[in-house]
Amino acid sequence: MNLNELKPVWRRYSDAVAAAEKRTADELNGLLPVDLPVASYRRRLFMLRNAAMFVFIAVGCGGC
Amino acid sequence: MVLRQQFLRQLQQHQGIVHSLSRSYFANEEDRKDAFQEIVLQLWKSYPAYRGDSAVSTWMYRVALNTIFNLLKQRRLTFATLPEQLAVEAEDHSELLRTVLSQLNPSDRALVILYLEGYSYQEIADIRAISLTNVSTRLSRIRQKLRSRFQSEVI
Repeated sequence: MNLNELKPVWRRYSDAVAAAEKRTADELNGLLPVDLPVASYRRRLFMLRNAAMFVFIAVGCGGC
Repeated sequence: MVLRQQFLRQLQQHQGIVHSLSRSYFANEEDRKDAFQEIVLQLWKSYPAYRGDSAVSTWMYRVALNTIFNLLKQRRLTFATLPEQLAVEAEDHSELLRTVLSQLNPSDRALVILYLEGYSYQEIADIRAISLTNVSTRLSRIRQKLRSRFQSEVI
């Protein structure tokens, strides 16, 4: 037997594992955090922009 | 919400990849559950950057294997030297497959799994971020090692 002949064996093995462990959409959804990755990325950008504006204003008014 | 639904559809369709990798790398059920959860999280985090330039399954293998190697490096989970036997079917060469995988370290095991999945050497190189020569050399060494280990049985 060669490595190629193990391909269908692996296929059956992984199909059987997948069938035995299959999770529903709800179960998968429950594993995800509430935040979208994109949203958290945008929030970081938003906070960075606010910080930059604060520094700009503070420097601009000379500490008034 | 659209992105989340899209991701869940893809994940549901291809979740078998994550399950079979978790089963191939981790010995006990708790570790497999932790690995599954961590891989799903990493897939979700990297999903916005996935541009569809490779098949979803290829992208999932890349992220899943990277996550598994990180978990092993951090020693958070224990590597299964012998992947768990399937209780459901003790047919044909499944025991041989299990024994073959048990001979391989985590990195070589990934190469063989990807090879058995039917990926080309170039695709394996892309997934593992190594050179084509490296894939070719290592798979050749693995074949030699298995040949000497199993003599007449394999390779």
